[in-house]
Amino acid sequence: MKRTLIGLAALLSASLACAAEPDAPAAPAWIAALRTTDAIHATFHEERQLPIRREPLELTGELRFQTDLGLSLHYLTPEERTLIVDEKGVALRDDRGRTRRAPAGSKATQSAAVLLDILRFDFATLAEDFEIVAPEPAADGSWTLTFTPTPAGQRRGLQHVEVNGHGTSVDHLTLAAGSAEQIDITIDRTDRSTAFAAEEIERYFR
Amino acid sequence: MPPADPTSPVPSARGASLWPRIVLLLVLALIGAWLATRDHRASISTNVVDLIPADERDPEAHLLRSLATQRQSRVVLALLHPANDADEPPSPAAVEAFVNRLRADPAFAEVQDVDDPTDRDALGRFLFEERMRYLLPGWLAARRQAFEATGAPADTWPEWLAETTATELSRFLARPESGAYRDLVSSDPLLLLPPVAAAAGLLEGDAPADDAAPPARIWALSSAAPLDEAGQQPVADALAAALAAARAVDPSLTMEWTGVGRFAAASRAGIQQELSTLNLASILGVLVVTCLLVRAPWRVAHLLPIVGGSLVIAWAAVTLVFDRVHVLVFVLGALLAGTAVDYGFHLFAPGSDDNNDHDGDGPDSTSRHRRKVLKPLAMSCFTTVVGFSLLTFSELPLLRHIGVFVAAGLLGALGVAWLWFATPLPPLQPRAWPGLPSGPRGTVWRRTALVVAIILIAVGLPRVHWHDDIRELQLPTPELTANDDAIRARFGDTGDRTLYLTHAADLASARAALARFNTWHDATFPGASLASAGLLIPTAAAYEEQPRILAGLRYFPAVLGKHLQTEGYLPEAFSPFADVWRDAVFDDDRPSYADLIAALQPHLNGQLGLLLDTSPDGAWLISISDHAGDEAVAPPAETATLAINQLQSLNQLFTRYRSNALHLSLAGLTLLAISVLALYGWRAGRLIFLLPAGATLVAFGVLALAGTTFNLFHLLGAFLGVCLSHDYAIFLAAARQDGAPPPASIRLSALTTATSFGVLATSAIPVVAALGQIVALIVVVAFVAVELIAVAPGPGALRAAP
Repeated sequence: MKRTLIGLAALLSASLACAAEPDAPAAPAWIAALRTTDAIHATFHEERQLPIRREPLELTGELRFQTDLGLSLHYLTPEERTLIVDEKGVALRDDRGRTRRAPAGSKATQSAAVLLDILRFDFATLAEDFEIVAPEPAADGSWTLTFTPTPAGQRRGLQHVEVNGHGTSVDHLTLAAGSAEQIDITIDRTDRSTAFAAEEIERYFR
Repeated sequence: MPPADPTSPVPSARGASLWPRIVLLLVLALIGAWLATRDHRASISTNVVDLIPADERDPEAHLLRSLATQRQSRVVLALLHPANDADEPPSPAAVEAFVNRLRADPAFAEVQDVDDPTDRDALGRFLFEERMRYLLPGWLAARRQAFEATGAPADTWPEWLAETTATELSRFLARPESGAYRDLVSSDPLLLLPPVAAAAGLLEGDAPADDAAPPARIWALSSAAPLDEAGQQPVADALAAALAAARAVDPSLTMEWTGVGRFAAASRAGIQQELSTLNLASILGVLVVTCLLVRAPWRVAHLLPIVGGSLVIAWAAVTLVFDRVHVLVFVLGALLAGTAVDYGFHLFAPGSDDNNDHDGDGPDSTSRHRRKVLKPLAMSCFTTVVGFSLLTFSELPLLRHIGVFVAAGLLGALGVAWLWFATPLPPLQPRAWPGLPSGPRGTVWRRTALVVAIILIAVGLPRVHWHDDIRELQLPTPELTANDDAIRARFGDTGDRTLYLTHAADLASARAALARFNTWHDATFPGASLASAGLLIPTAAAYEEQPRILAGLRYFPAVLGKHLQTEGYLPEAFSPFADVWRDAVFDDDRPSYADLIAALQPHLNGQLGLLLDTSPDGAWLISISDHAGDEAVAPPAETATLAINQLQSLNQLFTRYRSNALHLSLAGLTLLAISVLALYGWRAGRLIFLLPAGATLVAFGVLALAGTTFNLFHLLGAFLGVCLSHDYAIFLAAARQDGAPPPASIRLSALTTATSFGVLATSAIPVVAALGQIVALIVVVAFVAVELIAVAPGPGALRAAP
């Protein structure tokens, strides 16, 4: 199997931030309500189903997102690691604070770029690589977005992306790279504030 | 009798007495003509590495010398920047045009777009396919060592290995960075490749990600060595042409670049400029001081043949003795002019008793004066020559060259001065000199000066701190250095990582040394990562041991499958690994260790190629650790490894050279003390010895209090300062023995020498400035001491000098 997910599935959990370019032309009107400039802090748990495993690997961590800073996933178990996605690309920070970026041109970087677009609901850019289905929310306020790669988008290594939520919150994300390879992320608790503290920015962003 | 009119003709000087000058000028012209035929470009070096002995046994210096001639020195780094307001890096088409143009230029042997993953991916594919030969031996050896450390029974080894492997696999797959390898895990559950990829990132370095439109990074290797002119201007021209090619695609592109050749070119131009400026300023300074001190100062032109002659003789001598001399010898050799001119002053200026009996313009008077100054002049010259001759025993070529240059130049200066002034001339007429007060006021001055000197020595000397840095031998180029730092940071070369060099006679030995270094590194810097191209190959021992270990692990895939199942995996998914393992166990075509290494080298292109290199000098392995450099923590000798920052200063090496020079200087001073005591007796000899010694100690005290950090060249300058002030002390003692005031030549010598060395003290080359400071200070202190002693009561009490 040639698909590469680079562990970025968890990035999708940041879609709860829903920060998008204000002029995203193709976004349905109800999407605009999801966009925010708030600093988002949430906890999550992640299940990674791999074709070589009988049962998924389980990870937990906390997520931070702010429009101008990007996304930071701070994994707490089973190992402490931080993954940062921003305008500059993707970087990994270990428990000693050493940061390394993902190699330019790698699938990791390409995936990060497209995932960041998804998190921002930049439908104009996403439409170049994905067919997007964004039906109106149900009567109870729940909604689902699905992203299916076009032939050009296959190079990203993703086969299907789905984001579920209700109201202005994102509850669940599914990132599939094939029938046996899938990552599911469930958002447990979300806090919003106007901005992150300087120490938090230094530690979890770059 | 009043002194003769210095401007009047000297009839008795005409005729036969001009022959010595004619002969002298002919000899000097012949020497000059011989020098003109020499290839100075070949015999004069501007390379700082040439200051270190070619056969230097110190490993730091050996490494530095070798590196300077290796491929490493030919690296050129270039950045192609997009327009300031661009939000994307330069277009691939523009970068490709730049790279292709450089590749087509003969000035470059190799060019690589650092962000182009083609070479890296090709190496990755090769290593993955050959992982059981290159990577498995080291993996097995490390785990075998860990297993033995547990003390578990030997027959549990396969079970222990399988359980450990399965656990490590789960831990790895839970990391974000595992995504890129998930497709490979079924073939490589041992995770042989991920550490290699992580190391590759560290080896290549991360560009600072502080902008959305990073520049394109181009790594290149010039065809010619950077210290050759072919490695300088042609490289710059090729880069300019490549930029033009890239601009044809994107006119907004700009370029920054760096390389050793750029520094070398700047250094060469800077030193030439420095030589011109210093010499001109020194001549002007001496002229001004002379005008202030003597009447009819144009007659000082009679000193030019002495200075010129001594420099020509010194140059000829050093060229005869050494094949190649560093240009610093000539910069520092400017000190010879300051000493040579002294001999002219002693012969040309009136003697201490000229007010009474030296009528100045007749042959008899000239002969009498020459006889009178012969002994102190010869003594001064002899002791200085002996002192500088001792430098020829130094380990440092630069000191040996200076020793020959100055010793030969001083002998030449004495000979030239003696012959030039064999023709009678009216003596130089010093202007009135107020001198210091004598009597009770003079006593107060002397005592005050003595107390001040003692305080300076007592307070200053304990603050003397020594540190040498080979970089101080070069002209600082702060702009180029800042440019270099900024560009290298873009290539990941930042202060938060340390580069190490492992060197041995061959690659197998170097790899074994790297294993020892790796062990030391892990223990010394726990948690720090170490990356090295050397780690891509196993040690010879691990490689040879592998078949035996594999024979005991023939059924390892089955054992591993059991533990993988326990960890939640599907064992059947790992059948590709079982096939690869079986092939490794029954590997009949296993290459020799030498062939194994040879097969890898073609895949190490560009930057990676420099990290593993073999040459007639041996084999190099360069490693990078992600901890900041710490000069105090040096790898032990058995690792055959040095941190690059050790090479940057060579402080330890130069400390040894300085110690060596200090011993030679002390030996010279001892010789000097014995000589003057034997020739002048205890009373005068004591003065001759103590005056220069005291002046030197005071100078050290003053500079130490001013916060100066001393280096080898302060020591060298002190040595010269002792010789100069020793000259003044000899003439002072001779005058006191005659009951006469010190000759005006001391004043002329001291003040002109202080001026010329004061000029050197302003040099932009740190070591030249150091030499200038210490010499000028010693001479000034010695001159003040001479003036104070001159008016002291005692034998031959002293009248004010004219």
